[in-house]
Amino acid sequence: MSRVKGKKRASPDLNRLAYTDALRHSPDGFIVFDTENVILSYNLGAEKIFGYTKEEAVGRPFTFLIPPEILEKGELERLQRQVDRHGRLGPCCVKRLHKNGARIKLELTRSILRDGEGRLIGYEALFRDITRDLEFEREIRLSEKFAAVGQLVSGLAHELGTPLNIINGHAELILSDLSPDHPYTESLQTIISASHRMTALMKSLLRYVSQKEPREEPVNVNDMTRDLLNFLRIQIRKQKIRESIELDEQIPPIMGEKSQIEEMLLNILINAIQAQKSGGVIDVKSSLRSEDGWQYIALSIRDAGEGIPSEVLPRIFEPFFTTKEVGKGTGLGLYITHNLVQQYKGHINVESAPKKGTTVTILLPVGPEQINPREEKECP
Amino acid sequence: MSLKTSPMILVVEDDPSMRDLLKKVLEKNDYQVDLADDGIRAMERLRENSDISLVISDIRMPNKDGMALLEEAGSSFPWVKVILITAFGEVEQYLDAMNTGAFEYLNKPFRNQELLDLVSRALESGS
Repeated sequence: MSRVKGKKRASPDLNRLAYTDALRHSPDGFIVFDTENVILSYNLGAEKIFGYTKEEAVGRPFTFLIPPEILEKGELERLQRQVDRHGRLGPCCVKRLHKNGARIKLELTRSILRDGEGRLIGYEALFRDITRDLEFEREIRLSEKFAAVGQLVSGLAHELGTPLNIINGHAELILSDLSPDHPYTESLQTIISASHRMTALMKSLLRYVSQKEPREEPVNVNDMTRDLLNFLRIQIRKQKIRESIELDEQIPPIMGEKSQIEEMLLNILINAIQAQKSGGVIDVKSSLRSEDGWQYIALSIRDAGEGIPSEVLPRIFEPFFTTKEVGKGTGLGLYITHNLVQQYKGHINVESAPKKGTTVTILLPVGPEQINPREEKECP
Repeated sequence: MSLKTSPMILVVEDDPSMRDLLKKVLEKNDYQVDLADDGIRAMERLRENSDISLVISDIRMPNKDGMALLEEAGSSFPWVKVILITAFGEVEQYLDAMNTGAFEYLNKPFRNQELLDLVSRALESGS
């Protein structure tokens, strides 16, 4: 006891002050509101989580932070009953509304505030944004499932290559000996076109699932583009497509999984080649670009093909959507590319004009535009 | 085809139906065909048949695989060109094969005409 004797006990005021200060700066959100739901106190964490400033939030009933579909369901009343009955609520998971319209998931704890005489004067809510956590969990679950399915599909697709080749090759061989009006000519053509469809589907699936466990490594987009063009050269030559390549050698590497970035670019390059008949153009450019305070590597691939009709443009990233002739497209290429680009927090832009061709630009983030060393020090 | 004797191609493939297909497609197009079902047999055929100017080999085979054959044939018979065939491959495998000296690389499944185009390009390219 003598040891504590010397210590000065903090006054209740100091305690409250310290407590309030900690809450004010907490990355978790903290809101106090009265019995009419009007916000009285709103901390920095809440500003960050909801996107509204303290000035915008204080003095308003907090219902603007709740998505209308949740309000309609009467969730608020149910929560209220729960708090009134038990004095507190949670932690529980609720859906709320960010200023930008996005639905966010919060882990929420709410309790009753009473005055000295025990009268109900309001409520306090403590919460943290778990949207990312939940997404992350879901991604992990998905990726585990995906890895198992991936292994299976990849093994299967590899095994299918030879029998598909045998079916297709022998059918082509017989077809080449039949006259065009032979009764079985059409049947053989059907076999061949069906095997091409299977091939295209298998290739897409295989490319998608053969992505290895994402591993961060510096990837030189220019080198990769050159490798991929080499990979596709047979087809480019066959279609007499003229290549124009302008790669900015100053662009920095991006961090990512090589096979995923390959997959992104390969799908766009294949589309550009397939969009054109003999004698087309493929124009590939890389550059460094700044947007919204971030630096991006921009890779644009232009073809001089038929272009994408405006009514089709909104659908091009849908799975299994294809305008290619039967057996040529699976409708998975752009879908996969779009998903991967999003995963890398990048952007993909498609500009297309009928008869003039299409330009696809992929933007992949390198990092913040300028790192201010003073800002970096802010975090203790 | 030119008037001189048609080129001799060694087909190395462990799957009999696939081997048969390659043989038929090539013979139909006036090439002479020699056969082997793995890399070890292929080296034997190369040593015994000096007419062989092109090897078309599967990559995945028991005993000696296509990559090992490519390396060995490349050092013992540098004038022989090699086209490697594999199930739908990855870019890395393609680059490996090309860096080891393959003339070209073909993904299964391919069309007969794709194979024939490659073969004529390989044979035209001179040694």
